[in-house]
Amino acid sequence: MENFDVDTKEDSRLFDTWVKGDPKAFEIIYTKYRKRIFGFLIKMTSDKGLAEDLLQETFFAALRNAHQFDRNRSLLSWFFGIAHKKTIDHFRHVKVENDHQLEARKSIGSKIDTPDIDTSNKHLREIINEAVQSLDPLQREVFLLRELGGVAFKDIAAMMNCPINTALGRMRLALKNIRKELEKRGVHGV
Amino acid sequence: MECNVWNEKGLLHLSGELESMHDREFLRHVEACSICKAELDACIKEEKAFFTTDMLGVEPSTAIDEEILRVCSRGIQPIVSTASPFSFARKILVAVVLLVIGFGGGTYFVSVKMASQSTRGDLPTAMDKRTDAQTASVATTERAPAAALDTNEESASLDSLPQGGKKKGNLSLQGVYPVDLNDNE
Repeated sequence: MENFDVDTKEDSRLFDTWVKGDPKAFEIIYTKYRKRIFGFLIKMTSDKGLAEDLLQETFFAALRNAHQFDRNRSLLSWFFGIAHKKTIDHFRHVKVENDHQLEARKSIGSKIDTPDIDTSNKHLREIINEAVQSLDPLQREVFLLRELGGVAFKDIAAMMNCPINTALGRMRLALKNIRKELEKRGVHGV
Repeated sequence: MECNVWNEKGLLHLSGELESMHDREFLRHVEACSICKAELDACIKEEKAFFTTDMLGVEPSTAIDEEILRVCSRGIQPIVSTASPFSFARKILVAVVLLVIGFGGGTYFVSVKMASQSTRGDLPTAMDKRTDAQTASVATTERAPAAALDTNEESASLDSLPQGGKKKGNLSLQGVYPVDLNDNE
């Protein structure tokens, strides 16, 4: 995961201030992490409307369960844990996970709007997102939790209810398959 | 080609989950293993260039941003009761008064309804019951011969009457017919 100031102590301080009712603290937290969480949700669901609903539910749940947050852990990982659970609960309820996977393959990138990226990167971004969307769902899940959420592999294993070696194996396969897809589309290494 | 050391420890090293002793061992191995070195370099570059917030992250809509900020910015609001003790007592008093009115009104209504029904004759009284009993006994007496008449298939035929004999009325009743005390047969 990229290093972009994941300062656990600063996040915990902001979190406590937010919970006590400081709107500015929440605005900072939300602005910092919303793209990552929403990116995760939209790639897991391939549905912008649904992803927005789940984004709302994630933050509402975070507020309701603020007392459960371990200040020694990463706030982003905690948000991702909640977002992951909301997504799984939704699919369990709807029982259309296979349909979503099929739709993901059919509508790769078509529902993902990227007005904030300049044109030069837009093509590369589309290729990368297509490569991610083409992954096996379990590989995609591990990959997104790790790369977007910075979630530790032991936490990923707990979330996905699998051994840590299984999570590591899925991540290795995800990286291998993404590289293959990038090479197919003319992106050779960095 | 793959290296087992990379498979076991490579990604854990990148995520910072290896204990420091194992991490140092892994880095020493990487210096000596071209496969692990190439893999580690590739992962670091991919993370910096491809797997970033700009590439993988997505902006939510402004509307959803505003909604989430509106609801969540307030933090957890404590529940503060603004009711005074007097207002609680007042509520109890009003509830009791309403209960009494409701009960009293209901009872009055029912009694008025019953009185009007008895005046119209809708309700059976003791006199009515006696009259009913007498009517019932007369009805029973009249009904029995009629019932016998209905069930006796032979009774309607005049041929069944004894020849030359006096007809005992127009009907041949099974054991029940007007007795002619002057009958000399």
